[in-house]
Amino acid sequence: MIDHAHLPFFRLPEEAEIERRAVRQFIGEQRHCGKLARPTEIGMRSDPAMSRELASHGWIGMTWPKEYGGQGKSALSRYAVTEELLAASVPVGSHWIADRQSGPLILRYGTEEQKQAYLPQICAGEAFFCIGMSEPNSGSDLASLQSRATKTDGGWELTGQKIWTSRAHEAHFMIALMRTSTGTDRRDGLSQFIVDLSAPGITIRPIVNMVGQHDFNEVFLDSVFVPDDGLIGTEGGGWAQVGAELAYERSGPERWLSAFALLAALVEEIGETASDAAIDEIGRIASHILTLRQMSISVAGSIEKGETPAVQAAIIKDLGTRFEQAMIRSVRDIAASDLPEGGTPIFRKLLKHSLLWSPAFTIRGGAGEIMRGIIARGLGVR
Amino acid sequence: MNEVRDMIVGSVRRLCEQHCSFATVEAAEQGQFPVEFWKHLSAAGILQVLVKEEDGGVGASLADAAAALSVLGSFAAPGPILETMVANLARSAVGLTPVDEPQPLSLIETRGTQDSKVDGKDSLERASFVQWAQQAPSILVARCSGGDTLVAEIASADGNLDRLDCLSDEPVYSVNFPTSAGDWVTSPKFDLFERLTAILALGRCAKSVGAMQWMLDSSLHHANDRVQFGRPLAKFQAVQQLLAEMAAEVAAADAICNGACESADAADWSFVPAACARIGEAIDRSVAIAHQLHGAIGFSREHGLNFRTRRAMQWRAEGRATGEWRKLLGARFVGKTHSSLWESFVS
Repeated sequence: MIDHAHLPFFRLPEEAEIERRAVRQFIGEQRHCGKLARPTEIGMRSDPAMSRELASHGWIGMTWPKEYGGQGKSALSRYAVTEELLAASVPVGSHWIADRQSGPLILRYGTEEQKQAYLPQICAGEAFFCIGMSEPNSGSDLASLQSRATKTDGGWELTGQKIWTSRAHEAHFMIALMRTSTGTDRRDGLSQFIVDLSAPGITIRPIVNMVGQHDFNEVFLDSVFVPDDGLIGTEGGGWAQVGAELAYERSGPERWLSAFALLAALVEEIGETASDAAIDEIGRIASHILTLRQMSISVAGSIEKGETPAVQAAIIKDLGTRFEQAMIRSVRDIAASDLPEGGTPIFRKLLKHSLLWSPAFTIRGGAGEIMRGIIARGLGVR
Repeated sequence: MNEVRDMIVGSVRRLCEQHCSFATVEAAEQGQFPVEFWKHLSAAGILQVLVKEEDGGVGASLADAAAALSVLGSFAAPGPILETMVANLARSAVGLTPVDEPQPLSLIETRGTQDSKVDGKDSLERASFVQWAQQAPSILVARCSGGDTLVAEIASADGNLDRLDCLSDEPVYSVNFPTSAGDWVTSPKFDLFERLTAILALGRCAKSVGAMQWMLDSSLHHANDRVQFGRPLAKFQAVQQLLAEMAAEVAAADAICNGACESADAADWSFVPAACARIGEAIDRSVAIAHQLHGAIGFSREHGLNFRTRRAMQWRAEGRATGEWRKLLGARFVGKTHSSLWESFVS
């Protein structure tokens, strides 16, 4: 058996289900008191107030040690919380990156001072992060990036440009991957820095996307001073650190739950009388969701054991994002043939929004072709 | 993996390596029963893996049995192995002792109750699609009638056998027999029929996962060995992408198969339709990619790939077809609201 193509079975433990019930109760209350509207868009919306509300329940940084503001809970409990929040379209966008990958990165590679400085703030829903990886000339070929950090007195001077940086305009910090040296292997000269986005020399400009939303940005760094303790992990160790970070980014339920609101809306619009073709297609969709869920839980289980299942995460990202694109097309076709006028206006808006977002699924967080390259390396052919 | 699983999988793999040669698999398609192989499987207790220890079996879990069936599937192992395994489970459920000889299980769903006599003559039952019925001394029939499950052993000699065509070219028959030919025993478990249906389906899923794992392995070997344009195929990015896509499909199939078996072992049978639907789709894609990568070489009748291809296609069609499983699953979600839809995915 080829090891990387095997994701061992995990069952969510009872403690995760207890956590799930607590989240459901919270969501029910929020809906009831009008603080959580029914979704008219897919994807993740930002709402700092909701982030602070979730923080007060201990749902941000919940796997981190208590001494840093976390709850010391398992990755499997976090998994259950995450999928409940995503399935209900709770706006978790503000703290999402910090909770999913910046915090875990700091916890794993940060100094004691860095952990003390940032993790409690993240857990409180007060510090939001964004990811400074892509550059104008470095997209899929991330290791070719040119933004540079130069050693100066007491710190580093960062100059260059990041682009496609989601939510930079709402974030307090950016973890920037910068070139710190030019050696024989270009991957060796990369380092990660925690950049305070309010620092002098930072300019953030919006890029409006096809959906008509301001999600990503250009971030310009012009001689931005970052003190010595802004370097995260080891100098030159950025590439390996990023690899570990991406395993968290790629395996989660957001890869196959981002358009769940659309499926739910379709099922509601169809009601009790569904055509055979619709039932057949919904069954197919369900078989994918249940399978991807099993796979994501498996990866959460191995993260809990301290492993870094990068290849398995790439498999989930590739399968999950392609599934979501196909699902949106299926919903469109079912709606066109089974719903009067193609559905209610609110449904049609959700569908339009989903169709417009869908090309991005297989690009953001690592293009599908790059995922398959990682899988191919796992198979030993690259 | 646990100890029982390691032991069963290890012994099945050894037996396949020693006694399930290419010639054995090929001869089986001409109707030649794999006598030696069967003798060893039987002696190793493989046919009784699902039977409880107190009833003389191994007492393995479904997930353990599935792991062994995946190995059998990867070898395209001939004979009604899965069908006899499940027949033995059915036998023990109604108090019959397990058998060592091949005894394929056939499931017949009849509506209402049936009289054994019609106009003074014995009424006829039809067991369709029974593997190796001609070569087995008897078949085991489980009949669902008015909510009860009735089980009887029918001697092959008591039935009219017709050879049916099937995708894998293995010997498959329809068996017409008089109801009176069997000594029908009613199961005390009301849901036995559904359980047997589900276990057979999961067994086919497990075999298919094994066949797909073989296809992936063979595709990798082929891509590494075969040189075109001065390079091994595996060096071409287009080929790497296909291999990766196939690996993802196989990983998905393996994950849902394991998930469905482990859940069934914990008395939750709800994942069976999802496993059958998803694996059916994975088979289609894996077959297409494996053949694309093997080129004309894999399309020749003497290549091992076509044996796995034809069997995987066959297993996908047996019992409830993939589309039926999809509809069964889809119907669960009709009439749901946003929150109840999500809850039904999770619970």
